[in-house]
Amino acid sequence: MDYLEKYNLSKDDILDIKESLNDDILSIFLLEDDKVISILDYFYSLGVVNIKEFILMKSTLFYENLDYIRERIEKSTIPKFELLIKENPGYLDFVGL
Amino acid sequence: MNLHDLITSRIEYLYQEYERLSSMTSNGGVQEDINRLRSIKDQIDESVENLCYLLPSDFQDIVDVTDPGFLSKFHEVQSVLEGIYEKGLKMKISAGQSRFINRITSALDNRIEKLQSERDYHLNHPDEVKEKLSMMENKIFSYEDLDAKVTDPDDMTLLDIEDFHLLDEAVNDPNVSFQYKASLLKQIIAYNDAILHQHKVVSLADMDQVKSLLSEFQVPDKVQSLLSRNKDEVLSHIHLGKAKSILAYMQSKNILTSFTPDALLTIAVYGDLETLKSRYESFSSVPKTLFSIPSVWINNMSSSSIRKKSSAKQRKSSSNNNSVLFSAAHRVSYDDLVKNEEFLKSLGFDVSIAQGRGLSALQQPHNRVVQNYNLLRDFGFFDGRDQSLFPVSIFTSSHIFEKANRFIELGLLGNDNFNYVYYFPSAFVSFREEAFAKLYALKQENNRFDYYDKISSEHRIGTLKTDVHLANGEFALGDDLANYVKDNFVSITDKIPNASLFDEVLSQRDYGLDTGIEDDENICYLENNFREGDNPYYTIGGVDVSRYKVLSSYGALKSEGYMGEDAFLYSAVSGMYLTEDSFKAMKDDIDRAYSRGGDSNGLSRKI
Repeated sequence: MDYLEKYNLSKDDILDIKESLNDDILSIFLLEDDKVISILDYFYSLGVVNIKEFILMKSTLFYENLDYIRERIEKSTIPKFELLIKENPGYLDFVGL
Repeated sequence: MNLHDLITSRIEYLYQEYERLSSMTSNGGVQEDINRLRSIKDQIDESVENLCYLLPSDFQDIVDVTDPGFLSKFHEVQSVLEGIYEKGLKMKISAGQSRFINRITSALDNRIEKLQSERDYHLNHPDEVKEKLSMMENKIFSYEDLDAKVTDPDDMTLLDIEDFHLLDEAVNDPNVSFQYKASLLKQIIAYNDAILHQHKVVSLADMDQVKSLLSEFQVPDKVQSLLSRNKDEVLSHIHLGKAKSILAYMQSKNILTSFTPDALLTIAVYGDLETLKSRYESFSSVPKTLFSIPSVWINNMSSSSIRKKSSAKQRKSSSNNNSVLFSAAHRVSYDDLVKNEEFLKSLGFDVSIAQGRGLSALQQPHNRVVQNYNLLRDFGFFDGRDQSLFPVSIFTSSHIFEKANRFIELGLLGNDNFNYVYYFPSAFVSFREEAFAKLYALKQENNRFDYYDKISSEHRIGTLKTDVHLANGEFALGDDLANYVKDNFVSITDKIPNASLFDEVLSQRDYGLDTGIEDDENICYLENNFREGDNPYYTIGGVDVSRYKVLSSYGALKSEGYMGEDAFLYSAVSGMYLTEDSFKAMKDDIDRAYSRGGDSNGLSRKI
């Protein structure tokens, strides 16, 4: 999971993430790294900077496809939604993610 | 064959038996077999000429169709029949050929009768079937765990008494060949011997062979890259012959590059051709999503017992994770995927296999999805909510019941002023155990106002600081969880006799409320003296205690005959982190409540 270093995560951060994920999600991170990177790049572009916190709070997001995630967010009518996500990833619950 | 091969072969056999038993009580399945065999028998009864139009494979249920003796006789009989009926030759069936035909029809009759008898027995004894299926699931899981141990290059523990118990069932199975049993016993000794001499060898193939096989089928580069990253697991589990047949089939159907690289590699390592073919041929058109879920193409049960999935902290700490592909191979069965979609769609949730929506929930064991739905419903999560906007990822969570009760006790759910978890249900997934411990401590150290002041976000009313979920920053414990708990809280098992017994009883329960528990005089006392309005909690000894937890736990214990004061106290304090002072205050209030009725010596006796 060294690819997570590009999001300013240290080796200890990556180890903490590895130890926190359940088997299913860990296998996604280890086998479907392209998908994981595409999702993280998307949220990074929305302004999410604390990627470690984001992964740990919304780990189940990584079961989904990026297209589905984007559609849910782009259809949201919540004002300044990107700012809310940046502040607390839990706001993704509001759009069913 | 080595021990891994023998175990794998046993697992495959058990899967077949599981499927066969499942089909006894489901539509289709064994009835289809009975109908098919009867149709063949009817054709032969109508006219022996019809044997000309049948294939050897039509008789695979009653004979070994690869046996050269059978094939030779079958073709001989067909040739004679063709001569008589199609070419009008003056020939007769010989006595030997006639006996062959009679043996086939007699074997068909016997097989049909046996299947009918088995089907009827199992239809009339559904509980027995359910229990047998559950035992078989557990057996398969145990064999898979054993296989993981045997193929893990870092696991140098000997086969132990539990492993021997498991393998003993194969040795004692009358359906297992002597040859298999002899090989198994030999390999058990060889395995332990290798461990004792620190010489465990797990690889079935070498890297060049596997790379060469993948190149032969021109798989995408990403697959080769995944192979390198998961070399130990692949080399200790892949059967080159099997993998080749799988890749060849995918290639023949032009679906090899439809699979995602990880799915392709997982199926090549853990799949088998029959299951892959059977799944592919069941579709008129394969939904694209399924090409990214390898487990639907591999033998997996629709599980009544949830396969234990570890969080990483429970795994051995090893730099090699030898079960990454295994985890993907057994994520969810196709049956569970379909059942989940049907169940959740019927309730208005936005899920779809074909469109790849809500895959988090779809890829869970079906029993978990149903149980979680029922619990979330009972805790009010679907009241006043558009189901299509509910984050279905919550269905992935474990221990919903325990966590919901804790959220109530921590003032984060069911609280009109701070119903945080209702609006942010992903707290079920994101809250670490350390966070629960920290919040219980803060709630007992502070008055309500200060407690909410400490945990609330400065930016948004009614939300938590994000550091709370992960026990970061000011909410960090400053120590590991075990030491923090030891230093700050009482041990419930030390304080309450029978606590461990009660834990065991409650671990077996359904989560509903027993009829009549609300009329129990001890519960009535709590309702009248420790509950304000229709709060979802009692305040006992100054501590908020989830009402649902108390009713459910005490009801379950009482129905098992445990109705003493210790059971009543346990029902209140279970699942909580309590300081010495809080525990004492709660116990005093429970003593007062219980002295209004119940067993006077305080200890529960099972009646």
